[in-house]
Amino acid sequence: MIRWMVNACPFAPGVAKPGSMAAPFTPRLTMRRRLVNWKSGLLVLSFVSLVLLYSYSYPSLNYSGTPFLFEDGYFIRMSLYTYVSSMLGFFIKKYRRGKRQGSR
Amino acid sequence: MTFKVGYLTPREANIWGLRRSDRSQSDIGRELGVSRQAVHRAYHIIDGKVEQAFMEAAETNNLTVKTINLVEGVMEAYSPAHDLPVLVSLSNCNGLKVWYLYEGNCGSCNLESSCRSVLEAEAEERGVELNALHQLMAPTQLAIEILGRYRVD
Repeated sequence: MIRWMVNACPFAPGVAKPGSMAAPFTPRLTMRRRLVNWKSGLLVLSFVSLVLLYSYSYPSLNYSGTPFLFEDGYFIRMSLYTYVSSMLGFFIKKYRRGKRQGSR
Repeated sequence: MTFKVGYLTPREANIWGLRRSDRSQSDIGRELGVSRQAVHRAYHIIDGKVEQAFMEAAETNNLTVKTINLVEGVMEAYSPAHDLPVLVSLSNCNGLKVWYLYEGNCGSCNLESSCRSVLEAEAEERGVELNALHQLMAPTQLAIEILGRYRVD
């Protein structure tokens, strides 16, 4: 027996509807834990140790005698190259993922 | 090409959308730069895919199919579990949506605004003009205004 149509709802009567989509509240402690964790600590430590290693071994690295480490924006250039290569990797991954999903 | 969009590729979805606007196969072919025969073949593929999507939606939601309008993308069905008539809509903007035909209660539902935006997009795609009166309607009533026109009985 089909009842007379009144309205239309995407949820059947009695079905539990999903809650509102409000952004979850993130406590300050959780935020700090998210920023300061062992991964970020390891990253900073490795960066500092690499800088120290380069600085101490600078005389042996610098065969030509012309300074390069702190000259000509060496760190800026290296940071820029790292950023560009990581972004390139990210976009290639994204493109491949999109292509894979599109072919399904 | 997922179940949600009726397994239609973007190209097929485009052709399906143009077909709903009552254009001839030749017109669609001219617009897309393909032959009328190619559009005709695409119609067959689209019909098969849309029907498959509707049948799977019916099976998943335990619905008894009554009628399927492959051109407009609306299936009339019946839900024995809830003893209610059901409309299943398929559109490019919202994909497959199941609409249970009963009073509903938008007043106490926190999804009212999302339902309204879904229906506004649905109306726009189906060429249904919404006036000020429609804006005042609850989404449950608005859904019937938009999708009720495709009911056979």
